[in-house]
Amino acid sequence: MDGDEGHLEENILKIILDNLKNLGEDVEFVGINKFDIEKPPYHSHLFSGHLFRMTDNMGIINMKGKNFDCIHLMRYG
Amino acid sequence: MSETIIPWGALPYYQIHFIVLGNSKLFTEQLMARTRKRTEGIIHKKIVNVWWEGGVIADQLNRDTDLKLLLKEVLIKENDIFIEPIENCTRIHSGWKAEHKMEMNKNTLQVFDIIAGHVKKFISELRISQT
Repeated sequence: MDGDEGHLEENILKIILDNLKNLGEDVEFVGINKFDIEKPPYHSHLFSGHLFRMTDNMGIINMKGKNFDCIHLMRYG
Repeated sequence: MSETIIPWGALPYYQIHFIVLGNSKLFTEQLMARTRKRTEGIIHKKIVNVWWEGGVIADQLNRDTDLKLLLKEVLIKENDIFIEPIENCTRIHSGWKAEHKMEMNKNTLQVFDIIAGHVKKFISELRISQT
């Protein structure tokens, strides 16, 4: 069972990066707490049902050649 | 970390936000939009119709037939897509997903890329019309 505990939680960034690289994208993890966009609020809370306000920042991923500027990953709770 | 820490700790649910930088707070009403869909079937769920609801950008997105075709496939997994202008950026995202459902395919990425393109174009048009 070595390495099983918490395997995905630790490696979620790696899973996403590997997934995007497999799709042929040029991606790079930039870091955590380096940019203004990583500061809350992350949601406008103007849509019905969007009430949960506790969200953890997990960092920014840069992807080249796309219309969006970057990808922000976050965790519930 | 959140300022308010919940007693059961962080949960293994994640969200990916595709970010278009630029202050869009002024255009919140025009830019806010979300998908709505009509589905058929329970075991073999199929999306028969998709449309956007929200501000003026929703009309622009509804006119994109290629995007609609892609959304019919992608929304089975993504559930719904939201466009939310926050203070210093516009966030395009779907719902919370468990860690084993985080992987994306080419069509999902393409959908978010097309939507981001529409958002960028729309913001630049609004800026020009304001000046």
